[in-house]
Amino acid sequence: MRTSLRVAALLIALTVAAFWFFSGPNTGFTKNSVMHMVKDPVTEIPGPVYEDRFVPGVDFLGGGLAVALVVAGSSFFFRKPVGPAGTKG
Amino acid sequence: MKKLASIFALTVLNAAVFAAPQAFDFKDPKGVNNVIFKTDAPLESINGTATGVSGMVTFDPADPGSLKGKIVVTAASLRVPNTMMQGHLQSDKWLDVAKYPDITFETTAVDDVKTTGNVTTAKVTGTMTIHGVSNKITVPVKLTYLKDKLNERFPQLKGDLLVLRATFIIKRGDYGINKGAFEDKVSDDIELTLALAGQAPR
Repeated sequence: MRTSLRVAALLIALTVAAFWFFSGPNTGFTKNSVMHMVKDPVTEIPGPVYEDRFVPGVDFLGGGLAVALVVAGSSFFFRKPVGPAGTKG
Repeated sequence: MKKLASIFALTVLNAAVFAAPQAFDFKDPKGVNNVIFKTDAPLESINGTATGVSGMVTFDPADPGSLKGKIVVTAASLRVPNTMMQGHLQSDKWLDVAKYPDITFETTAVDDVKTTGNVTTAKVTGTMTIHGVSNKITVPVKLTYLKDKLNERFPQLKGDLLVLRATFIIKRGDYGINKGAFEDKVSDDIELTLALAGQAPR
């Protein structure tokens, strides 16, 4: 159980870090949409256009790593398995 | 002689009509008109936009200094790319858009008017009302008068366009928005950039 929890924690940490990194390592807050400006050809006014897209930020990364830490930490509540000769494995 | 007098009268009348101040409606059916607001936060600058713009401005190309009018921005149209942040921004802890639905700027004076071609720059003084608090401010404004360009945006209409641009900084504390509080999280200075086009159909 200890090992399973630690492996799970490692997987969570790696998945969260990879998702954050490959979504474009956003060092700001998490965004639910991305804005870009489109210029009106007559007035030349740039107007905002929002595209619904999830962009994880450092809050997402920090939260994910905290969850991984909690999972890894919870592994210490389980005893080490005892071997057949009475030795701890 | 009578005919000449009639032609003269018509010419004068025509000139008077074209020299008269025009009322420009800033409610843009295309929704391009916008106000960008920018403020600093520890992780990044918070950038947002407001597109619920309306209002009327009277402008006379022959006398740009006579400019007057009022621009209204619907507070609930303020948008940031994070929905949780947007919820906080519009809540009673910050802008309280339910209680104060409009952000307004109404002109009171125009100074330092300079016109080159169809572009006028001026310092416009007016009353800015945000969060129910009004303050007198002066902002540098650039106006571009686009004669007969309305039908390029709306082919069924004839008339003129007036493009208004301005960038200036206000302090949220001056408008009773968490004055002196949370300045380590959200800067007191908020930069506003207006890019608006008004239309005057004929």
